[in-house]
Amino acid sequence: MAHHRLARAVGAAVATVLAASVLTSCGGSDASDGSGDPVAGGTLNVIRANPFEGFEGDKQTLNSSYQISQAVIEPLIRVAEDGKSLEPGLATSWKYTKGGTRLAIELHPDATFSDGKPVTAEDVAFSIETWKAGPNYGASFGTIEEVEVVDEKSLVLHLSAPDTALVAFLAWANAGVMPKDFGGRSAEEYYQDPVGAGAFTVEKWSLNGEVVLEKNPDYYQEGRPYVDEVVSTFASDPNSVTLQLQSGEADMADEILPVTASTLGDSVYAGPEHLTPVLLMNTREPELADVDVRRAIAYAIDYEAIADGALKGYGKAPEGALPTNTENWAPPSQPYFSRDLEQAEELLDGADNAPDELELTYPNDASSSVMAQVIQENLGEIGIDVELRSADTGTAYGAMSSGAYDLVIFSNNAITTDASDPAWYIVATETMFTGFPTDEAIDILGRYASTQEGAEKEAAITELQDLWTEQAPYVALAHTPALEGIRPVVHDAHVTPWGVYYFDTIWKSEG
Amino acid sequence: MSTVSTSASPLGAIGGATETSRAARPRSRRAARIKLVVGGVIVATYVVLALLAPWLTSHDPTDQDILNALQAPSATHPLGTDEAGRDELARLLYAARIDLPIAFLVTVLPCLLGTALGVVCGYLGGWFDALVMRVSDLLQAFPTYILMIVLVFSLGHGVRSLLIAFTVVGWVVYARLVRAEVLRIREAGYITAARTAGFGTPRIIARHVLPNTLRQTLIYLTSDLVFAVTALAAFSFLGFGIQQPTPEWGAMTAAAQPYMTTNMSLTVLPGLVITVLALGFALLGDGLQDRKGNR
Repeated sequence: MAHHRLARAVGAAVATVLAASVLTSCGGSDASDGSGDPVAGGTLNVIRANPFEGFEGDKQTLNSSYQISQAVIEPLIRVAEDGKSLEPGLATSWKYTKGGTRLAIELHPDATFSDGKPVTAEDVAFSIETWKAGPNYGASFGTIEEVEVVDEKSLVLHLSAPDTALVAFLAWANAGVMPKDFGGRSAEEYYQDPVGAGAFTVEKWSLNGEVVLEKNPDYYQEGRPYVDEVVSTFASDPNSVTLQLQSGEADMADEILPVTASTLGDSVYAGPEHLTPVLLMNTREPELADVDVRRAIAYAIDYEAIADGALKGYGKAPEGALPTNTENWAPPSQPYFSRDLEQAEELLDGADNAPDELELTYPNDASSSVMAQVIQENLGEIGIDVELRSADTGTAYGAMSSGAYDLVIFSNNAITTDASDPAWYIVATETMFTGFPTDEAIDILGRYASTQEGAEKEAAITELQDLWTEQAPYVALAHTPALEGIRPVVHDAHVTPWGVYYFDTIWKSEG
Repeated sequence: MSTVSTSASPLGAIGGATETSRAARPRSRRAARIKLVVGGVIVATYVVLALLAPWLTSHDPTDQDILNALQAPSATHPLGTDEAGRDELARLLYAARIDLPIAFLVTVLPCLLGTALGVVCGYLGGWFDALVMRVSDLLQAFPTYILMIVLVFSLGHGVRSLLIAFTVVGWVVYARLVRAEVLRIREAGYITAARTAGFGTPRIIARHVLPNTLRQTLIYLTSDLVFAVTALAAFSFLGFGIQQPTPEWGAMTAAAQPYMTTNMSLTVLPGLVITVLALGFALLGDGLQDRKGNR
């Protein structure tokens, strides 16, 4: 299950009803795991789970790309260790004023690009214009009407409407700060050999091969990064990942599968349960247009078997339709689906157009394969014959996004700290490609954005959960943690719930 | 001074070769017989195991027990359980009921089509022969596996697609083989005699031409079964063939691949089963070929 996020932009495009809010966050991470004082030096060898898509933020869809990119072209704001709050980075402070329509940002006085030039408000203004122009994610920054450069280290964003989600998006890996006019180069030249204000510079990179990052000696955070070099290699085969970690050839392995984690003993970091595999139901198909059929399917699934068997215990039965462990997350007002065959059969009996057979497409990784087989058996118990169709991730995504499917196993997760983030993704993709109408959800999300009260935001999230539970255009199969293989010599890797971390906090207790 | 070696006599050499050849023939016959017997026993064993599968195991090969997945061998599960908690032995046995008939079908269908086309082309010649041969040239110009993958991918997963893909690609060799035999046979005296006697073309083909081409075709068919077994496994391994949870050796190998470091037998056993069966068919084919040579 690649944790990717395409079409984010569309979600943000509908985020026009946003409210006043003041977010002056600033959590802090003490960056320590109790292993003593950080030691500088060494090479960090990382296995990435997916190809690296390059440094152009608007074209990135995979965690592997976010992670490498933000180490070089750092965003304004950082995600704190808890994965739910934000902390200062290139921006030392940020504050909403004028009813949430102005966002004042102060830049770190020592922030410089890796070529030694200072990071200025002009650079940030240029970067924002570049992000906004992106065809995929530009709309995420669509509420920024104007960037006012106050002085070299201060700027004010003028917003068309209050936008409480904007700050979280400024911490997003795709929103890296670049030198004005790409430092006098073309965009193509820049993205090939980027200069950023991040902790590392680029030694070499390729899509499927090695990405080598070198320590940026001019990094603005005192003492960081600790390691001299990061070498990222791409390996998706679980056996290869296991062997490389066990032999010490690799120090870390990103986004490992539960089957790999189950072989690694103590060398596994499991974050809070967040990643949410889902079963999408194509509501354009006559049988699946019937909500009773969809709910029957949801009641037939053995969620415990999925959590304990397919996910090897790295997960729990779903508590709602939205990924857990984000800021303002709240459960549905009624318990989420659990296995209830009687209810499933009753719903199916009452359905006008109950299906005899359905096709289930699933990505051909080990976890999805077992989940698909569990679902196949479960639906067989209520008289629905499921034909399985395995596909590589790209083909599965293609089938899903083109609507050429009955059922698909997919995955949803946040890529920022806020509970509304995965909800926006669902809305942006026509309820995750199920074709289920989004008007009501957009309305709820509008209300979510228009309040600064936590309780009201949680109430809106509950309302969304209820909508997607009652209508069941898709069903969450589990909540599972981001799993990272980490050798014991590696310290202070602060993995967010969605599985991304900063290289600069990491140090090794041996070369 | 010169010397003449008696052993250099041409007659002596010929005599020696003749003796060697005579001596080698029984050895060669024996070798052919051994190959046929070993190959036959292997294949027959698979057929018997496939037929007796329900009596050899009490487990249903598709019954999941997800909480007992990837168990080590035990009295209940002699070869352990797979990633969905299914009995590995039952799956290996029942997979023979899937793989053997499909391997047979994907070999026989192209054989029937190729033989029919080869006979007609060889006997009648003309524009039809030219057309079929050009089509076969075209098909042979493509790498076999690539063409089959393209076909299966466009036709969709499943047995039907496999049958079509194997037939579309596989008939060519049979057609060429049979056509070449027919070209040789059609000028034979007994064919001329049949024509002179006023027998019709269908009768001549059916009664006199076809039977005389079958030996070579059958030998090739046996060898082709080796390709069928391995190719079927390869397609399922790649996800184009039989889908889970149906027990099929190639699919089982693919499904077990992520567990190589912890449950190696799940990958190795189906692989071994495929290898031994392919060996069985290969020995049968070789044995038949050798026997034909000896005659």
